[in-house]
Amino acid sequence: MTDVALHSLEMTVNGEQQNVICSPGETLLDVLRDRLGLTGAKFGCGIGYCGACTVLIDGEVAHACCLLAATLSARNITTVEGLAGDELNEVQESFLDCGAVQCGYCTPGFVVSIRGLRNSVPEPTEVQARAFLNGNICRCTGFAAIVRAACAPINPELAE
Amino acid sequence: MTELRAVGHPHRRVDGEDKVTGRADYLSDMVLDSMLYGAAVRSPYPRALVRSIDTTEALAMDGVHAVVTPESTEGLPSLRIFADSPPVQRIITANPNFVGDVVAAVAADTLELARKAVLRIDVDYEVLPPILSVEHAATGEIQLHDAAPENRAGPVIAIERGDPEAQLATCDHVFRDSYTTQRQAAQTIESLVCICDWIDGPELKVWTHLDSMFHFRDALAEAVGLDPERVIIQPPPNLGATFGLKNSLIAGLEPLAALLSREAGRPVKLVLSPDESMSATVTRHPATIELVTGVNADGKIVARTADLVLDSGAYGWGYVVALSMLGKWATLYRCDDIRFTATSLYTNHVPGGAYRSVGTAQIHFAMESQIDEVARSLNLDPVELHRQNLVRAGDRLSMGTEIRSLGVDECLDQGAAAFGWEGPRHPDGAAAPIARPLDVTRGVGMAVGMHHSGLTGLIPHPEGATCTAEVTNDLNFLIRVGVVEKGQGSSTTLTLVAAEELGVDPGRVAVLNTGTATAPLDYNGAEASRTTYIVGRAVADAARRLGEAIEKAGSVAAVVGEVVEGNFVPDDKDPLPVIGAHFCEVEVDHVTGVVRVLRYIAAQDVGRVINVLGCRGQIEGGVHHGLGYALCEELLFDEGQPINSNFMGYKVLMAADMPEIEAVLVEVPDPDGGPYGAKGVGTPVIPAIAPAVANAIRDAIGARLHHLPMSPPKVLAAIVSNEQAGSPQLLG
Amino acid sequence: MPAVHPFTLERPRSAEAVVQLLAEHGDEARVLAGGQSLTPLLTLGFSSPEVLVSLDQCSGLDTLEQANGQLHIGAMVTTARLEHAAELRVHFALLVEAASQVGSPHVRNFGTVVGNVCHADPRSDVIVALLCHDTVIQLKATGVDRRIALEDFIDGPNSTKIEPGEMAVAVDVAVEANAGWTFGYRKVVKRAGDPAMAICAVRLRCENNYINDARVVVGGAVSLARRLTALESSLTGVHFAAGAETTLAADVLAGVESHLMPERTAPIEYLHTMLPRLVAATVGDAAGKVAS
Repeated sequence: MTDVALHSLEMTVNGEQQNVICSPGETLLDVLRDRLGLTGAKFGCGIGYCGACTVLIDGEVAHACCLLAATLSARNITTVEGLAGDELNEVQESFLDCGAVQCGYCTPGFVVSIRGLRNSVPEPTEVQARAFLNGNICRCTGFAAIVRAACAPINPELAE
Repeated sequence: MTELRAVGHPHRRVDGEDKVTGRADYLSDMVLDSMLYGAAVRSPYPRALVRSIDTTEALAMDGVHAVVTPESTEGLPSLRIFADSPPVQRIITANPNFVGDVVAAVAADTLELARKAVLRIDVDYEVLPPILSVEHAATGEIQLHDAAPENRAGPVIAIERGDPEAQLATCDHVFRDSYTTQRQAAQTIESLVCICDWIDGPELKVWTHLDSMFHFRDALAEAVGLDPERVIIQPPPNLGATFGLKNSLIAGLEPLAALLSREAGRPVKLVLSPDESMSATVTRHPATIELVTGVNADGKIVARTADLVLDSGAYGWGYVVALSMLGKWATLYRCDDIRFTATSLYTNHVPGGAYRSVGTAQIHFAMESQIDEVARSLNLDPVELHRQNLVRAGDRLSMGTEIRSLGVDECLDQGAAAFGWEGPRHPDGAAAPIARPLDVTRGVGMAVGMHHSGLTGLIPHPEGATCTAEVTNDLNFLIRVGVVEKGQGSSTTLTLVAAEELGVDPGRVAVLNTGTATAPLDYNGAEASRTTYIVGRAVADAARRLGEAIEKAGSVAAVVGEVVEGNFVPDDKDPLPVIGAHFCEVEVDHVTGVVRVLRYIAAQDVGRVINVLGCRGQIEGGVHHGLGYALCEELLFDEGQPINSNFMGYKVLMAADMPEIEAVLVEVPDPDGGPYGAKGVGTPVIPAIAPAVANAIRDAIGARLHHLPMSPPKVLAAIVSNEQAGSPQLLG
Repeated sequence: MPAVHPFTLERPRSAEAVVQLLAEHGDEARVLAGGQSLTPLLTLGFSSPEVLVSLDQCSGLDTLEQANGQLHIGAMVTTARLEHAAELRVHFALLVEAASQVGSPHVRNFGTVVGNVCHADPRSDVIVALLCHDTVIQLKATGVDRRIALEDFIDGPNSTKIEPGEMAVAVDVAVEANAGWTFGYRKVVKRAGDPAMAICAVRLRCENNYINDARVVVGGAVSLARRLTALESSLTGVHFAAGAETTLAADVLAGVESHLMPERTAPIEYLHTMLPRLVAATVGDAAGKVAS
């Protein structure tokens, strides 16, 4: 086994302070899934193309597989588990209404990406949504229903 | 059309909420008690002999619990995919036949450790000269497998009807064209994983990506030397898609994990990396296709011949794919004088297997491209030329079934209307504007695609499904099925069917698959778009019977605990034929050869829409695979080495590349098809796509591409040829 | 899954501390800025440093500021920050455009401009844009600071003149005194978000439809991105009208021939045909933006 020094750091994950102990080579995805039990973010390609590992870091989209956890102290991480409270988030509702989920393996990544997009562009155009999704791949839906969900008008009852 | 309350109305997926919240677990998330992790030692050579394997260093590592080698497969049969396939593949081989072929494997405490141990296994190879092309395979200079003389992956598929040569000699026009298609990989976002638990000697429990449970169980049982009842296949909680990849056993996955588990005495989770998942499983068969078509001036097709060679890779499906191609090629156009010959050959590449729309993708690219060229030559609208020659209801399929329902004209009409089709924008012979080298030009194209729903007559095992229906203690309804929900939405579709038959809200119905030990038999599973059709009919049957039992007993409560069976066995000798007509518009950049698909209309005859969101989703998703096949997807090899088997190098289209897609759900119900006349959609959507795009490019640039994928270098080369042939304006 | 090769991670708080660590560990150390290029190499085992020096805690490296005739881009300025710097569009519209084309928002949110330059990928968006300006990279080692012109700094695919013990602290881009520059930017990709198969960046300064000054850079399937100086000379003083692009091909090919890097999916014949067209079209884009 490796004998490099472990790192201890504080980060906020889904609003909760976490003290994380990890080895330098662990990606944020490794830490989320294996140490914090947050398995919503998925391992897809491992090299920053498929986006199945998408999380928000200080509100901005990032590929968790391309970041070393030990460099992220004091950051605010949001995973798919942090998007829904007792009710589903409006992006999640749109996904269900638009039929944007098939096998679902990419879904957490897309839901988080689109949440990130709509945080700064509340009602994106189709062109904006498609361009924003350069870091997410879906092999089931042809992206069509996902883009419809991304551009769905804000539901005043659900919007956060 | 009868008004229905649940069927045909938008309904949220039954598993949707779990998926959007991240609660849904997949194989990748599953951890069993005392589970180990497996990794494979793979041949770095396309062809070699293993002289010796030294496993001492790996076995000595702390945390390594088992190592298996070819010796571990002694007494086990070589795998035979289909009845007439040569038995050529070993689970662990001392004669690797492709880069990635498994020569040993390890089980250890962690995945990292297993992968490290793989590096400590010392394999001594004698490198052998490989066969890297079908041309070389055909020479017979090297025979790859003892059981496959002339490197044939099963018998040559050949038929002849009438006298095509005589017709070709006398008809008005003869068209001769050659086409090639490439290796396409499924590239599921979830890489393949399986968990095997060979418990207490005689019983093997398996969780894996798969398309069918029972067929798979039998194949796996035979592979590892167990009776089928001793193998228990459990559906994973959720499955990250297959696109047909798991229609059959993959030697380097479940059988390998099973052997590791037996050796270690503990459950083993074998995890393929994204690279292995693409380069060491199965791909679509590449094909070389030569078509000769004889036509009269009025557009009537009077003779057709086809000569094909399929590259089956090291151990692939071969002749079965050719059979599927024959079925579609021979049926799509009415013609009495035809000849078809298809040879499938083994080469030292990743095996060819099933991939969404087996065989039909390749043959349609060829035949629908050629028919478009015929239309252009005769100055006929391709829609009308299709109308004149296509198969119709009343014609007969390969095994003799009379076609009851086929929405040919409906798809052509509705697709053309949705698109605003007025024929090609730049017909040949018209005064076409000469494109300047830096121009961007547009073109339109259409194509028809036919595939099948169900497997009747295509495989030895009889088609059919069983299921059960019951009232639960909380007075809701439970349907037990033997088919796996692999993401395409079958659980939701079957829920809607049951709810409709029972006359209840879909929220009160649950569809459950509990694995081969306890689930009702559905032998063929989620393959060939048969779930809605075949399993749907069984579910409708069970739900109807349960409804009758409730009526007879007087109340729902009175029937709690009573399990009612349903089943369906098709009377037909052929699967249901399913047709679609697609229309597309492209824009081609003459600077770069890049093709942008602007609009895409897919009119598919779905029989009857049951799950409208699912149906549309399957069409839109299918268009993604088809456009990738047409434009940019290709698994590349260099001297037998895969060079782009990862998410960076293997290109699938992104959201920003995709056109506006309109799925036109054409309903021409089949009275003896799926529930309410439904047909399949997931695979039939594929075949028309690549030729529709090819035909639009032809319209846009005045030159036809015969080789897939139609990548920018090929498009630009065609543009330049055309410029040099016809245009006075050259660059530089 | 953790990196194949274990390493020590250092997180110093200043550039001085960074270069001290680099001096101490020499070849065994790599600098980690945004990690978007390096992290996948680590996790796949293609890069195996003993020590990784992360800049995430370093102060003083995140300045993005136009002052004293220079645009100063500090080592930790992300591509996203550059993309969204609307105020920079006056003098640096090409740079802002190029930044917006890098990969995906995920990559841009963490990947740094300076990190992109140091990675020296011939397909880089920001490098071709920076080469269209007078750009200098600031390097620091213990006791030594130096500046080197960008076109001299990159000397091959993924190769720069950075010395052991050195870190790149910033990139400085000159603000041109003359106004009236327009730009063109075309990127050829196999699918959206990809690194470029070919990329052309152009800046023109025109007066009355005559080109007074031209910067033309080609990147992509080449060993390194560079200015096509012979072509720039040919264009200077030319009255640019539609059709002028037909004369460019020979100069384009002369400028790139010696360092084309064809690959399976971008073969040499394609590059020979496409690159002249690409440059012509991009020059045309820039010329077309000139107010007549």
